[in-house]
Amino acid sequence: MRIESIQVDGFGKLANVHFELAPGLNLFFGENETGKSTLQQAILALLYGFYSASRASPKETARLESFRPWLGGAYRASLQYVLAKGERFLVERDFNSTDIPTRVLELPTGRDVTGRFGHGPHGIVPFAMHHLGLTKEVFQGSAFVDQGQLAALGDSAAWISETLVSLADTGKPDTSATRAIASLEDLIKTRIGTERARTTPLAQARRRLQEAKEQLARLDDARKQVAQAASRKQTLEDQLARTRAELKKLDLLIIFAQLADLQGRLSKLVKLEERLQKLEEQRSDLQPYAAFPSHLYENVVRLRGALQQARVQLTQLEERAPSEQEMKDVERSIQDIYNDISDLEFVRAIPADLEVQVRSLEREWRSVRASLLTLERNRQRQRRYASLALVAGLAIFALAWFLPTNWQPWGPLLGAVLAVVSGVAWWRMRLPAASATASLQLRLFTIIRSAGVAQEDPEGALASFYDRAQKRQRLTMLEAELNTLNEKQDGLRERLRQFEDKRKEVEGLEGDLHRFYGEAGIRDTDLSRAWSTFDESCGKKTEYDGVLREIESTQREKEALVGGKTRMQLSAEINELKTSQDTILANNPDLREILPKAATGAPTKEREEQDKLRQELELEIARLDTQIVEGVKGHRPRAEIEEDIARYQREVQSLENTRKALEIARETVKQAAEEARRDFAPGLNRELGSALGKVTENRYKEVHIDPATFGVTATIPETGRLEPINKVSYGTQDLVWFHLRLTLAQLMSSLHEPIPVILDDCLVNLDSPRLERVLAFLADYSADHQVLLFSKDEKIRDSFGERPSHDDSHRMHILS
Amino acid sequence: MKILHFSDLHLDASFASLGMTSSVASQRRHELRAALRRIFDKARELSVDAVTIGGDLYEHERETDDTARFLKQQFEQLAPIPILVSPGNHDPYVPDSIYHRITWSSNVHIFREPRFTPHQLAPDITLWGAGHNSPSLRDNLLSSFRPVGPGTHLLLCHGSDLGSVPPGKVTHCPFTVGELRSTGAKFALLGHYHGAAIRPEAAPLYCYPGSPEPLGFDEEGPHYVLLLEIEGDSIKPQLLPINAVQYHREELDVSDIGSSDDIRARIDALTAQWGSTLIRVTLIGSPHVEVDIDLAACLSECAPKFRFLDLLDRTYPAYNLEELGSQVTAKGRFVKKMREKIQRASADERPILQRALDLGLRALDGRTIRVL
Repeated sequence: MRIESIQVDGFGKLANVHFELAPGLNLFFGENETGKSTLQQAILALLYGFYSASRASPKETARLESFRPWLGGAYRASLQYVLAKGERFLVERDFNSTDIPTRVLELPTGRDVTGRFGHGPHGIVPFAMHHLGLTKEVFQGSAFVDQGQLAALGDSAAWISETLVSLADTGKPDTSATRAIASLEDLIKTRIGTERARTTPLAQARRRLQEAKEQLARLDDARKQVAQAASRKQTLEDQLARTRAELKKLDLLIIFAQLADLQGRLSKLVKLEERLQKLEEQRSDLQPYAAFPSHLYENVVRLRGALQQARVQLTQLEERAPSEQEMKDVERSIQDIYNDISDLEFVRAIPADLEVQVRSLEREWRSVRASLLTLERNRQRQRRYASLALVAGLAIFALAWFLPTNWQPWGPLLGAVLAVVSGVAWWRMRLPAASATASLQLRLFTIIRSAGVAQEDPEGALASFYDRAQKRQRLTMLEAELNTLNEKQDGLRERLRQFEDKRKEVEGLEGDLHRFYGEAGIRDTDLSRAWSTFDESCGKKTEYDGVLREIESTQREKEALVGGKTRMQLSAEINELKTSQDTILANNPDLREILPKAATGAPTKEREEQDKLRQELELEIARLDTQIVEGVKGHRPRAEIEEDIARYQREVQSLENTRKALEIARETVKQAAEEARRDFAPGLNRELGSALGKVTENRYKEVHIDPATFGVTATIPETGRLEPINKVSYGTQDLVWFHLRLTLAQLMSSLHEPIPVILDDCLVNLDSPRLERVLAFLADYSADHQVLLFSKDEKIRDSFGERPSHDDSHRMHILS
Repeated sequence: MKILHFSDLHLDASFASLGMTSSVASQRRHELRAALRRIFDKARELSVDAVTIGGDLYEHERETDDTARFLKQQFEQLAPIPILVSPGNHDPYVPDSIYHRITWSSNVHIFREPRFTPHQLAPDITLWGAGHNSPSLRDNLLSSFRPVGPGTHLLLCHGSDLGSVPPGKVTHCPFTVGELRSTGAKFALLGHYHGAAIRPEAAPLYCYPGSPEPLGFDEEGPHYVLLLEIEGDSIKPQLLPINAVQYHREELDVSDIGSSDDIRARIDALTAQWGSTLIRVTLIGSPHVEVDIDLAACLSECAPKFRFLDLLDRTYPAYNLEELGSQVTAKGRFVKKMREKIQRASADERPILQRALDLGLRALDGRTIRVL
């Protein structure tokens, strides 16, 4: 686009001015307050209007009003422009009202093509957007270069990159995507918080939410337990109701059984009392025997038995008792024997067995004596032989000494031995055999003499001895007979004594019986009659005692039956039970049908069990009641917790959504910035590379722009190294800056339409050489892109005026 | 015979969804109790013969012991006027319910079973009531029910007329008007729907008195109790306003405002008419992108002028996204990308993406970003 002319009827201080612009470099020169800035704003307002949206914002309206013509009159302007393709348009705007009537006319036909661009309120006709491919914001940011921008270059060469990046990111020189990303990142970190953060708003909100949820969970748990307790209580209450109904039933059955029991007892009581009356009558009849000593009965019976037995024995003993004659005969026989024994007293000293010894010795003596005679004859013969041998030996001994030596010593030795042996034999047979016989005889006579026999003649002594021995035997026999008689006499005496004893016993027993009978008041001497009387009385006494016992037993039975109660009391109890029974039946008519089936026994044990169960159930129900009442105490109302949870959930949700939105925004901005810079960088590189060599007389031909940071580096000719742009001269930096800044402005158009650039006194601080070089650059640049340079600097004016103009491509406009 | 009927009081209800602070919500719960006192005052004032409650008297999950004592006290004080209660899905007759726990005064009769059982209101008037015994009783109790005995028969229950189910309302004990009519009952005193209705208009057969106090912003307008007068065969149902509090919703289009201060001014302008209500103001429209809406500050300044103010921001800055997206700058590319994402996104994701677009543009413009 190239602006061909501008007509301002009224805009701020400008009124009725017209500018025909050159297609290349246009210098608008004027002192301060001559309308340079107003003209720039008029161009902007003509291209884009004052309003950006269908609804007018006060800020925009205020801006509109701020350019209302100072001197009044029409608030109106028009602008004619031509596009690269040759299309020519005229735009007319009337800023007098916020409606801003706008027309876009196609030239040279003059056809109104406003509707082609979509006609909105407040003069929103986006023809400039359609023709330039730039929004107002981007156009303003990229095509307008104010005086401060180049001035800032003096402080930092990095500003070139920053400005370029900002322009590429947002179309504004001072707002970059990097800053936007940092801003979003900062919001995520500080205003919301990351997942790991603990003190940031999101973490705190989550913690509050979690705490509230835990509160609710605890409450729910408590309520669940209460519900379970209540459910359990309901079950137990049902069971309790059944138990109570069962108790009612059992009560009825027990009353029924008690009634039956009491009625049975009453009936039995009547019978017992009738029986007692009869027994009392019997007792009265037998009263005389009440004190009879019937305890003697056993003794009497025993005595009677003993007496009867004693009498039998007495009879038997009487029959066996000896007579007086029999006793006398025995005494006489004993006397006779005593006399005989006295006669034989002299042989008593002879031992009874001496005769046997004597007869034995006698036989031995007689035998030995016969043997002795034989032996004596043999001994005498053998002594003779020994005497002969002795002599012979002595003779041999004596003769041997005379014999030849060859007989020596055997001859004398033989004779000596013979003499010794025969001598010994002879010596031993020197005593006669008669000595053994004499010893036996001596023993025999010694014994005989101990029996009182003094005779020397053995045979006579023996005969005498044997006579005495016979008498001694006689004495022994008499003594035995005496003993027999004595025993007989003792036996007779014993029998007599036994008889006497028995008789006395019988008399004693009879005395005892009389004494017992006497104790019983029976004075009859006739024991038989007395016994009959005693026995009969004992029977009555026994009968009396029996009646007494029966009375006691019956009374005990009565006591056990009614426990001391009277018939009236029993009847009252029965009536009371009947009333209770009727009451239960009246309240529980369905129980009436169980009575006919009721068992006779009272189900007391079952009732006890049921009552125990009832008590247990009541206790458990009471415990559950407490649990139900206490269950949720200490908890906040659920509604309040839910409200907290909802509030915290909203807070968390809002923060999470915001974080998500911030993260999406951050990532998308990052991607968009990378893409934009990546797309801008090649164009910048290309344009800068070709242009810089030209304006620096090929000193800097190799220039590189980093696609991420737009950092500019150039190859220094002296070193041949690639260095940051701040290493080159200020003049070169100016050129680089201008070139990049203006190239980027051209790259901003999505339609690749050349954009007119408006420089607002941005060269004012340059010294003359630098100014010249920049103006030379601008002159060159304006061959492809229209440049509107606004300045109050006379140096620029002069420099511009001195520049040769081969055609009408450059023009100076004086504002006054 | 005069009967005062109400339902759906929802004592101890939670106001979690209304964005209320704890103190405001707590005050609302006290106002629900106050409503019960007013109803019983009305019963005394009208000398009614009975008070019937069509369920949801309280919320079982949220009830407190204090509410139990309050109900016991109120019911006792209304004696000897009989109170007949048909528990609903929010206050079912369960073992741990207030109905079961409390020993009620003799003037209180609670229908415990999910089937119609009779209660003699007068020699010639029988009230048949049924109660919920679980939070989700979905049986049709009317299809096979026929009142027995002479005289006039009334029904009391908490159920859903399938012919007039409000949007989003869950049905309990459903029935049709045909089924109700075929029971032969003279009139049905119902509960469950929070909006009042006597139907059919020509020959009234049943009534939902609605909630005596509104419970949310979807229950605007007056709220009622029902006075039912019976004289012989004649039935005269009449709705009597009872609510002390009103909810109101207002939408404010702030597209044309110059600054956020204009919002405050517009909300202030509502105080004259709605200052005593609980109001929800929803900001809509597309204000200029440079307008910075500080909702928290606005709410803080305006809320004291209303009984309760809930302020929602549904605005979206008036971006010319088409134009912005056509730019070759990073900002233009960002807009283009975000618009593509929004276009592809599901309805759930879209609000977050739109927010991301706004946040990104604010960051790229260097404008103020309000997180909450």
